[in-house]
Parts: sequence; C-alpha cells; structure tokens
Amino acid sequence: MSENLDDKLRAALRPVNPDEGFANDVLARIDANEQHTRKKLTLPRRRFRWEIPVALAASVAMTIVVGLERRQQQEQGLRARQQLIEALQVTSSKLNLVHDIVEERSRAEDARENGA
Amino acid sequence: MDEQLARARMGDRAAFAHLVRAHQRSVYSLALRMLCDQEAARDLAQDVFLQLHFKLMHIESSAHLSFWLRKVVSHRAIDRLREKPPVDLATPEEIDVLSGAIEASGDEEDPLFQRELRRLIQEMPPAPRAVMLLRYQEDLDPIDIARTLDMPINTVKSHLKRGLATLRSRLQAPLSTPYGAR
Repeated sequence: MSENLDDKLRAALRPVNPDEGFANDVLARIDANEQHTRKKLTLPRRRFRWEIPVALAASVAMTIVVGLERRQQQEQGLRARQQLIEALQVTSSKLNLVHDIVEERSRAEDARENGA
Repeated sequence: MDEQLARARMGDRAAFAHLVRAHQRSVYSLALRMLCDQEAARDLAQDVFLQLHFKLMHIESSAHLSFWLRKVVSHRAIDRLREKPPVDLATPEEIDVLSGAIEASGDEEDPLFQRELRRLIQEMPPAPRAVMLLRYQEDLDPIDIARTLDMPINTVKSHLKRGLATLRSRLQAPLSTPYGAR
C-alpha cells in the first residue's frame, strides 16, 4: 500500500505546463523592467533645493548685520566715553582756572592787609 | 544546460529563454499546487524567473539553478499563503482543467483517485503541503527537502509521515477527520 500510494502520488503530482506564452511573458517583463530602470537613470536630477542656500545666506546676512550693529554700538559707546572725558577735562580746566583766580585774589588781599 | 546557463549569465537572451522553458513546468506546478489559483501561480512563477534574471551571476551550476528555483518558489508560496490565505480555493477539477493536467496525464489509470489525492494535498497547511510536493512532484529526498525549505530534517520526516498517514486515512474514509486531526 505504501509503495502503491507513493506511485499514485507521483502520478497525481506530475508537473504540468503553464500556457504557451509563459516564457515570452517572462522576457517581456524583463524588458519592461530594464526600460523602467533606464528611465529612472536618465530622468533629470531632483529639483535643486533652493531652501538650503537661501537659509545659509540669510544666516550669514544676519550674522553680518548683528556684527555691524554691535560695532556701531561699541563705537557709540567709545564716542560717549570720549565726550565724557573731554567734558571732564573741560570742567577740570575750568575748575583749575577758578582755583587760580581765587588764589590770586586771596594773595592780593593778604598783601593789602599786610601793607596797611 | 550548463552551457546555456553560462551564456545566460553573459546576457544571452535566447539562452535565458531556454532556461525558462526548461524549468517553467516545475516552477509553475509548484506554484499552482501551493497557491491553488492559476493566476496567482502564473504571477508567482513569472516573479521567480524575473528574480532569477537578476541573480544569474550567483547561480553556479545547473544543479544549483534547480535548487534555487525550487527554494524561491516554495518559500514565496508559503509566505504568500501565510500572509493571505486563499478565500476561494479552486477545486481540483478547475485546477486540472485550467492547468491542462488532464491533457498532461492522459494515461492516468484512475483520474478520479488522482484528483482526490490532489484535493487532499491542497487541504494541507502550507509547510506540509510544500514537503509533499517536493517529495512527490519534484522527487527530492528528505535531506534535499530540508535544505530547500530551511527546515530540520526531522520536521520534514514528520510532515511526510503525517501527510501519508492522513492521506491513507482520508482515502479510506473520505468523510472522516480533517487533516491533522487524530
């Protein structure tokens, strides 16, 4: 029975042919696949993405602007400092002048008192 | 065959077509009896040959080619059945007519009995079904079946033993227990 069943199974499961056009259809699919692959390779490259260089340029511009502003502020600060110093110098020289005048008058009074 | 393989590997289209024709019967039959759907089987078989076209450089010999084709079609059919079990199985009669099995096996001694065998094979789960087909359609021994399906040899033997036992049981009592039941 075992051998008989084995033989029956082999007979029942003999391979069968596909339809006549099977091999040609396989070749046609290979051709279609190759054409598709060739098209993918010759398509124009992806659209150039402008966003990145624009973003970079904007970043650089911002850096320059911020730098210029800082420099301007520094220069303003320096000028203000200079003006203060000059103002102080003027004030100082005026004070010295006043001092000199006061001293001279004081000496003149002393001299009159001593001469009287 | 090795000469055709060598030429196909060098891009000879006619040689590749020759390889397809030499192996289409085996590949298609495995796909058909696994998937039980003629259109799906044809599609799967063509996919396998398309894949072969890209893998030719890895095929070392005619024996390797046969092994590779059986392995790929079996694995892909099992995967396909597991992902999407067929809802409407073609009846063995429909498969026989559509596949020309009646014409191919015109000298069948007992066509009804053989049709019943095919129907019982069709009812088996994917892995045992593949084992039975590789054994009785492709005439592989258990060691080669184990290599083809990446299955332990004992599992192959177990599937064969249980498959045959179930077939004997069902053939003696067609209305009794389904496959695998004790």
